[in-house]
Amino acid sequence: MKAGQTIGKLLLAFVLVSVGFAVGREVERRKRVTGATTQPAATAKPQQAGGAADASDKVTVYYMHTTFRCLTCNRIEALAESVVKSDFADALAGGRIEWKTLDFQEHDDLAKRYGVGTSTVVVVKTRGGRDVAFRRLDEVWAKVNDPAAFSAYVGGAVREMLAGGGA
Amino acid sequence: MSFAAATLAAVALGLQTAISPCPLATNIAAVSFIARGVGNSRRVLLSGLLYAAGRTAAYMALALAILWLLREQLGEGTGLSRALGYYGPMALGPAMIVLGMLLLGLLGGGASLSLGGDRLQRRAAAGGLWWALVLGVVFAMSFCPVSAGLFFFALLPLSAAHGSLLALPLLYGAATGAPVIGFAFLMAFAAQYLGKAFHRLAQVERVVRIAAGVVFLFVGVWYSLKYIYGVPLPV
Repeated sequence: MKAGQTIGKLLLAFVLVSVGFAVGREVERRKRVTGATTQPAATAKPQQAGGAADASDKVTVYYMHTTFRCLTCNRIEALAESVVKSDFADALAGGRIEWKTLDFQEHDDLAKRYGVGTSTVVVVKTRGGRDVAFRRLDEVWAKVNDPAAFSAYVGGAVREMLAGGGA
Repeated sequence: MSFAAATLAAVALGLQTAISPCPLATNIAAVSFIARGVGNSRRVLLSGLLYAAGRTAAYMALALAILWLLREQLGEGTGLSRALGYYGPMALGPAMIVLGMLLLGLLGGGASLSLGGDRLQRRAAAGGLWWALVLGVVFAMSFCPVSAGLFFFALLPLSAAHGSLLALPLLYGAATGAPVIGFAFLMAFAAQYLGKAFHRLAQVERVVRIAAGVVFLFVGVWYSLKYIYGVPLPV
């Protein structure tokens, strides 16, 4: 039947174009990622220029996500962000804590450094712009449906880092 | 956590993986694929069990590979998670479109959409039960962020903590397949009941088979748009 053949050809064309597009995009991404790793990583950059301020500790809470988001991932991001912004408002205002989101598939160096395999939360402590400790909060996945446990888990990890954990 | 509690946790993680919105599209495809054997209860049952077995085998193999072979360098597991989570969904879209075309008989010379045609019937019948096993393996391996998070970062640490390389991944895998089997049975038997009640079993069978193919096409296009073209679709 003609309609069937036409639909079949259209679908096949879509598949071929999609595969071509995916390969092309991957080549571009690899170029970008390779280029990015030659630059100093985001956390390796000094947060403040010069002097005594440079030696101060800073905690960065990252939500590292895949390029394409998902509903559960968005929920993890929203919960973690609300913990940081509500439980640590003073530290956030004072610059001792920072909240950042980034696409780890575009930052291969950071993904490898922190062992990130899927969307997750990572708490990193820096001193003078250099990492001194980090903790990947893998259990966000197991706790995402229990907001109280999630808040206690993320809040506890941030508090520990702020109090000098790992340094 | 006691081992009994860990087994419950593994089952809970598996169920959570199955019903999370992110792997839902592939689960719907799996349900339609298994249920397409409507009219033949034994076939639906075997197909469902093979699908679950495929998923379970894939998770057990991965768990073994990561926890046993790479036990000296657990960080490697995250590299595997990154790779599977990145390339899996990307490859899945086109693969599912091709599979949908096969189910509908749209691939190959002189393919036709003649709905009751012998070609489709033959293909569906010859589509072999083993495809359900393959589908289970492929769907399990194509990690979306939720399944990667729950498997690599919740189940594997649990397995490692209890030194359970096989039992916990097995329970997890079986639990990811169980809801799919349940829904497939419901769908197949409801369709069978309707078909028998109205003496239209042959037509119902045909509609379910075609629906399975259409679901595969739809999910394939959805995955391609989201994971290849970056269209911000939900789920």
